[in-house]
Amino acid sequence: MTLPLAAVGVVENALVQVVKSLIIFAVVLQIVPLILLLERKLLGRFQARIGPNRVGKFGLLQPLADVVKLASKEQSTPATAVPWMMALAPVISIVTAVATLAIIPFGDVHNDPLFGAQWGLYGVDVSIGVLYAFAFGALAFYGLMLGGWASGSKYSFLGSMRSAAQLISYEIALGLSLLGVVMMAGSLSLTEIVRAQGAAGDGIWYVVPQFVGFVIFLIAGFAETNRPPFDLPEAEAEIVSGYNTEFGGMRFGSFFMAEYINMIVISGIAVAAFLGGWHGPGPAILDPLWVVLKMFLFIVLFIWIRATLPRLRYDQLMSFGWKILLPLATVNVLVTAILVVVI
Amino acid sequence: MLFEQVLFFVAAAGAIAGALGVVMIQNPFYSVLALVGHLVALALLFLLLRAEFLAAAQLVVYAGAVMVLYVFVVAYIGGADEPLSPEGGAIARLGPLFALALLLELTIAVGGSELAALESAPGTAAPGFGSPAQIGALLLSKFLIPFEAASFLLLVAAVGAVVLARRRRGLEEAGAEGATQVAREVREPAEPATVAGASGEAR
Amino acid sequence: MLGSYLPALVFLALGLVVGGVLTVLNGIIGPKRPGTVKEQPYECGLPSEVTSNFRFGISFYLIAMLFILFDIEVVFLYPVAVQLEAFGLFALIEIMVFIFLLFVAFVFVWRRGALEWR
Repeated sequence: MTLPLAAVGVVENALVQVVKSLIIFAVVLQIVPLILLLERKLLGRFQARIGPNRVGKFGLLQPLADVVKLASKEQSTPATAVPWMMALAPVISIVTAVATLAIIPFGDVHNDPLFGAQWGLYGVDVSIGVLYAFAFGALAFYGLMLGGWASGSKYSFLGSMRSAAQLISYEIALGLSLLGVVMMAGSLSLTEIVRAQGAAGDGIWYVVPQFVGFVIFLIAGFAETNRPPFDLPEAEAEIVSGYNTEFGGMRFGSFFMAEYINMIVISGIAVAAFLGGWHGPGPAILDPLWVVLKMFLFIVLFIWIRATLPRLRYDQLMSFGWKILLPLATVNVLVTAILVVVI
Repeated sequence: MLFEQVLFFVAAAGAIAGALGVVMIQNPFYSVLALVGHLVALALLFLLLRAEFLAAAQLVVYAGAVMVLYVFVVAYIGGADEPLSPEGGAIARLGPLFALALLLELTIAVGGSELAALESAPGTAAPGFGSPAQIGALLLSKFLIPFEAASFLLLVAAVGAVVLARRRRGLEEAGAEGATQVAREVREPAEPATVAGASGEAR
Repeated sequence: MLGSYLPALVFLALGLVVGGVLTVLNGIIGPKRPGTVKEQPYECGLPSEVTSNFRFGISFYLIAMLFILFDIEVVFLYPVAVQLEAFGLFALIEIMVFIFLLFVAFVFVWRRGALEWR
């Protein structure tokens, strides 16, 4: 019996791969401070304040000022800590977050005369697709865990245990929510999924037929990135600041930056899987712009929800993840499977 | 090709170092971390063998799920430096014997092959080899029964986990649990086996 | 094939460089004025004795155990989901049997109260 195999993606030459990776990374690195400022500005507006407006025009240099402040702080580690591990933990967080960035597709494969070859505007497009993101997401757990454990402080350790249990509880729902999309597109690769939403494929953004999956993905995505209302790992009213209590300066900044990159990754996957990725009116050169624009929709939603919803209680968080989200995601998978086969 | 060879040796060295760390490090938390390092190196080896899906599954299931349980268990029972078995016993005496037997067996197996594979040309992987699509096709045709049996196995494991946890909880009925446990032990710190002071023993 | 993983390596290297620089930055350019008070872990109000002996509830163990089971389920379902359209009804039935068995496990776990957080 011959086995039906998925098409193997385009393999560019090494130089193109390195250059495009550097470009994507540089662009995302510029988006992070923008989100930082946007969050503070929007939070200000939501609370009828103006938000930061002193540093630079409209407070545009505020993120830079924050970085300078953090960078000029003293490095202090408690006597109870394990210093080398406290140095390692933020690195793990950053590395796993940055590595996951590679999966977001910003544009289709182009036939470019400039390089004399085909190339696509994404980091990696491999057959394991979204599993690549899950693999690094699984490793991100160790950044938080080591951070909390190495600090030698009870608040840090409590925070890291909590965030670990929260991460794993919502990871299943996150995985199941994308299964419906995978079934409809018949591929794990995010670029294939985006193509399947274009005119050549199903011709519809999967947010419409997969609305339940979309909502589950968003909720689980909020929990995975520790964003409010799921920011229990750093519930300042009870465990001070959770796993990063003892971290200061740019090490704290690293955890912070990793959280924002994770937000970008979750938004990017949501755009590709549910909002049609680079599809939009206009010529192909606008494709990356559409992706970034749609990503900002999600990021504004992240901020909006932070300003709106109060934090959950821990047992509520757990029972919501296991008793509501998990069965709902399973039913969604079953219904999608039936519909895909029958229709 | 040179690049792949460099990666192979990095991954192989990482795997061996991790495995050695697991058995030689006394502190259980570090031991678990060494195992994580070992598993990550193994995933890289799988990737070099073109088993993409297996590499991802290795990270998601082993590094991301099984090792999380290990970390929780270390946090639950506490990471004391006390030896696992009290001064030897039968296992400690038989252990080296078994290790020696295994070493002999492996030496014979490796020697018997005359390491002929080292001289032969590397095999080629067909397009799509090791991809989720191919694994899925195999799961639905050749390995259908193992696939369904896996689901049954998971069912049994779920029942086992709950029953075991319940039994342990029955033992604990005298004390309290979770948050109340913490509060209690502050007042009556005589409760034994509560050493999850986390980084306490790292100093 | 393996060549398409090169960007992942580039991203990993970039992450290592950025993370490495950020984690040592304060040690290099920050001020150094050590003091005994600075070396104590954070505490607020009355010092509590919790640090040296507390352990976590059985719930953490149970949640991690159940997570392994359902995580394996998800990993198994992914490759099969890719082939759903190619194999049609046959694949659908297999997926339904697979999920049904795990659903039984889920109901059992719920009924025995393992999903209650304590």
